[in-house]
Order: sequence, then C-alpha cells, then structure tokens
Amino acid sequence: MRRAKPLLAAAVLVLILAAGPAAGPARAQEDISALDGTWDFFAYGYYEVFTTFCHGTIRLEKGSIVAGHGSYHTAPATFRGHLALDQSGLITGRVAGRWGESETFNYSLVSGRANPPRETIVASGLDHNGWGCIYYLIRID
Amino acid sequence: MRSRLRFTPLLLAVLLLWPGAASGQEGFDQADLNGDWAVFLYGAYETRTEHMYGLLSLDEEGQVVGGSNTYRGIENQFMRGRLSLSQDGQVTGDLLLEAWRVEIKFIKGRMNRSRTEVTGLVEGQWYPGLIRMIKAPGAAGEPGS
Repeated sequence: MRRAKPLLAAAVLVLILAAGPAAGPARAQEDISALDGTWDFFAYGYYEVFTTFCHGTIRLEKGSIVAGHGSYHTAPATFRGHLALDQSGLITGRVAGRWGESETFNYSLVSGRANPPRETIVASGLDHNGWGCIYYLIRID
Repeated sequence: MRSRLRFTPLLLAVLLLWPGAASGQEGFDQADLNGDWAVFLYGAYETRTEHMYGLLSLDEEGQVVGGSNTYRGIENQFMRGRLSLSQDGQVTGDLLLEAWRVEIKFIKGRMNRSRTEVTGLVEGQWYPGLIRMIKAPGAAGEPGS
C-alpha cells in the first residue's frame, strides 16, 4: 500500500502532463504567437483568363511577416504583411510584397484555419486584382 | 526505492514532452516519401484548366512504382518519375503521366512535419498548378505504421 501511493501519484501526474498538449490549443487559440515561426507560403488563383500564383518562405513573429522571400509568378519577390488569429481560430490577414523594380502584390486571407498541430494553414481570399485565391502555409519550424 | 519512485513522474514527463523526441521529427528522410499517396492537382491557364486526381505509389527512393490517375477526365497510369525530399522537407522531382505524356515537375514543394502531406506548385501541361499529396491511411511508410 505504501508503494502504491507514489506510483498512483506518478500515474496521475503523467496523465495530466500527457493531456496538457491536447488542452493547450484551446487556451493558446487566441494567441497569435502560436503561429510564430517559418512557413512556406503557396498561393494560387484564377479569374476569367488570368492566373496568379506565388510561393515563398516567410518568417512570422507575433503575426507580422518580418522576413520573406520567394517568387511572385516567376519573378523573385520579397514578402511583408501580417496575420491575425481570433478566438475561434479564424485566421485573416495579408501576405504582400514587392517584385521587379517597384511592382507590388497583395494576397488577402479572408478566411483561414490551422490544423490542430498548427503545421498547416489553409485559407481562401483574393489577390489585389480581386481574383479568387486559395492559400496553403506549411510550417517549417 | 522510494527516492527512485519520486523521480519517476519527472522522468516520464521529460520523455513525453521532449520536443520531437517521441515522433523523431528532427530531420526528413527520403524514405518518408515511401508509400501510397492520394494526389490532387489543379491548374488554370487562359481558357484551359488542368485537373488530376489519383493514387501514387512511391518506393523508399521516391521512385514511382505504381498508381493510376484521372487527368482531365482521362484514366491513365503514372508512367515513371521520382521525387526527392531534402532534410529540411523540400520536395523536388517530377512525375510522368501516360496521358499526353504530361510531365508534372515540382517548382517548389514542401512536406509537412507529420510527413503525411506534400503541398507544392508544379509545372503542368501549360502553366504552373497547385498540387496536394495526402498519404493514404495505413500505407507503407506512414508514420507509426
């Protein structure tokens, strides 16, 4: 009986700790810092006869894109912008940037969601021309 | 004995919570591509659209070893191809379809950290398209299988 007590306490503690990560997302859902890190960004859209596509790697810190580079269509591009995460888990914001001499682009994320481990974000929205787009963000680190 | 038991919860907690220790998610391996993948592709160019869905089998080297697809409504086979996965999760390579001998070539691809999805932009028949690959449940090479 004496031995059983510490074992029981150990089992209870381990169960609490193991349940922690599952309970964590609900608490952290409103915290934009949960999306901090490096992500690969993919955008694809089409309207009438026009196609837009973009890919790159961005670094998010507290919702701001603090660094990013990739390609807008086939031109090298740099990224800026921001994302917001509300209490329901809705992700909105914009991934914008520059390419060429002084050209700009702007992809708005109207409605997005992350999967529970927050390693993939899927979103829908519009580019600066109003063409409908789908977006994927895949977490790198 | 009692003092040993006192540290048991701490040791178990460290093992459970150590980042990536349990899942081995530190670096990607080429063999992570091994298995059956559901593949979805969509692309649009002027008045043309390109769409494909199918099931693709890759071996541990990332070589195409089987699978069929429906490309723009035509049922056909994956003829050959090979995908490569870098240690940081970037996916490159190409897939050759029987239909019109279309070559699907990755411009930029990324595997997710769970090793269950690949997302990318690819060169299709006319123009870049968006590709998604989802590992089939219970497939060879699936994490934890």
